[in-house]
Amino acid sequence: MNRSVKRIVQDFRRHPWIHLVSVITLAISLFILGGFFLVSRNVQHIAEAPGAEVSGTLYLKAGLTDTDVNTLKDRLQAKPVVHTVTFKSKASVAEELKDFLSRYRNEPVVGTELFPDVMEIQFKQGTSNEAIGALRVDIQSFPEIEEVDFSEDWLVQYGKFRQFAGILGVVLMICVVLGTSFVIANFMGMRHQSRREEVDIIRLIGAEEKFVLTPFLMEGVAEGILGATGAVMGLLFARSLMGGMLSVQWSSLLGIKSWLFLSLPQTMLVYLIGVLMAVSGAMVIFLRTQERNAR
Amino acid sequence: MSKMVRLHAVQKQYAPGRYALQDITFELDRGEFAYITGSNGAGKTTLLKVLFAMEKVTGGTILVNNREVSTLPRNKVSLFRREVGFVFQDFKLLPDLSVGENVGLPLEIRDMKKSEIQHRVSGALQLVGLGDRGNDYPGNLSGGEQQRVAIARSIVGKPVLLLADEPTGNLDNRTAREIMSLFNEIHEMGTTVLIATHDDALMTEYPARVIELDRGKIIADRDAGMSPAFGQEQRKEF
Repeated sequence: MNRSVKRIVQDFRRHPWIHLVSVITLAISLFILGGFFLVSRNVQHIAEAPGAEVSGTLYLKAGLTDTDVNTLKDRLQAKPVVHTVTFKSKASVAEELKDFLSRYRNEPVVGTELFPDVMEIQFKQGTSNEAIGALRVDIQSFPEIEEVDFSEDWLVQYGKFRQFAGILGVVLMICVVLGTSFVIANFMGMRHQSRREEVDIIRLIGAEEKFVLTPFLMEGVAEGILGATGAVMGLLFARSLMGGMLSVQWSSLLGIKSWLFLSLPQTMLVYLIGVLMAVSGAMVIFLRTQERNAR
Repeated sequence: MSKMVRLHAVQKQYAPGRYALQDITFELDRGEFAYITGSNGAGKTTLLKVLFAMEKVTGGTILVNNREVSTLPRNKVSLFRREVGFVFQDFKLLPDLSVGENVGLPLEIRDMKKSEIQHRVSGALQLVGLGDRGNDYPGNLSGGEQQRVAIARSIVGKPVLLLADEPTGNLDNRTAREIMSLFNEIHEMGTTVLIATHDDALMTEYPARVIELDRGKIIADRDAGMSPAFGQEQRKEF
């Protein structure tokens, strides 16, 4: 084992560029794969964030008194699926809109006098679509309410999208693995040319297959681990860049405070796939040299 | 005297009607020194290759050190090659390994202790006159020196038989003579040596048994000191 390790270290020193290109190829492939895992995990994270839970906006009829509004608020708050109820007067809604728009341009906002007063409802986590649907029917019959706008329709669509994205993701992942394996196999083919003579000579002076194969396998493992580490580092860097963007604008909109990184099983899977791809490539070289030496 | 090499009716056919070797039968005693000669394409290299289990024969039997080579299973070939040294015309040194590492490689393959490897590598390099070049790389050596390294590598494992395929083919006359002296020295130490060459001058200067091939067949087998013409008449019967 020590000799194999020594031979690998020697080989990395002798052919640094070959190994470097090999590790970079693996790292790029695994970065793409890990990037897919990362996106998938964060999409799920956004979906599960409290801010993305079903919320509702109730547009109130004009001319309600403060008492009417307070009574309505209490009635809504008493509903078992409701978490919070917030009243926003037409003036405060207009003010919020002005604030939002003033970040981008300094033009007066027209037509704010037409805005209605609104009540925003936040539902308790885990509330079913059926319960929300039942509440919508109930609330629509309230005389103080002009219109009900719940986001459960969006969530149903989002659920369908997630299902579709899941299938698409698996297909994409298979394509990425096959594509990168193809690239790596071709690259290994080039490496095979550079190692062929060495392997032939070692065989001619009496090396057993184990002696020839072991360094190939260990090289594969080493390159796989280095490639996967490069990919994970790259993903960490990408996440930190995305984190800066999130804190500026998207945090409140998406309801998440930070992007998640790969879970431990996902990280281990990236390493495993890296090692498997590199070892497969190494085996390709070994088998090609074996074919050549078949007597 | 027991035989080191026995070939009987050996055939090597690459395609129907295309023979590289035909009905090759001869024996080599232990400790014998012999040449295989013949023009280009006569079958010298093929004969050495079948003796070294680099190619399979299509007929006949080959015994080397009482081991049947022609039917040797693939997983036994590596062990067999440890008993036989082979010197190639193009040296076949690993350019990225130092001279010492190249010479020590056959011992490393045998999983020998580092101290033992160093001791034997040093001895082999001394024998070929390169005792102080162990740390150099093949690229820094002349052709003759590289061939010496290749010879050191082939004998470091103390083979019972040493095969050499045109070992002086790429060397100038003076260096070729030095290399032949070295083979003589190795032979005097008790190793059986079989050299493929078409250099008549060297064979005259270092006389030994000569097995002559032509188009894959033995056309003469003469003992040391016999002239080629005499050898033709004295062809041995098997």
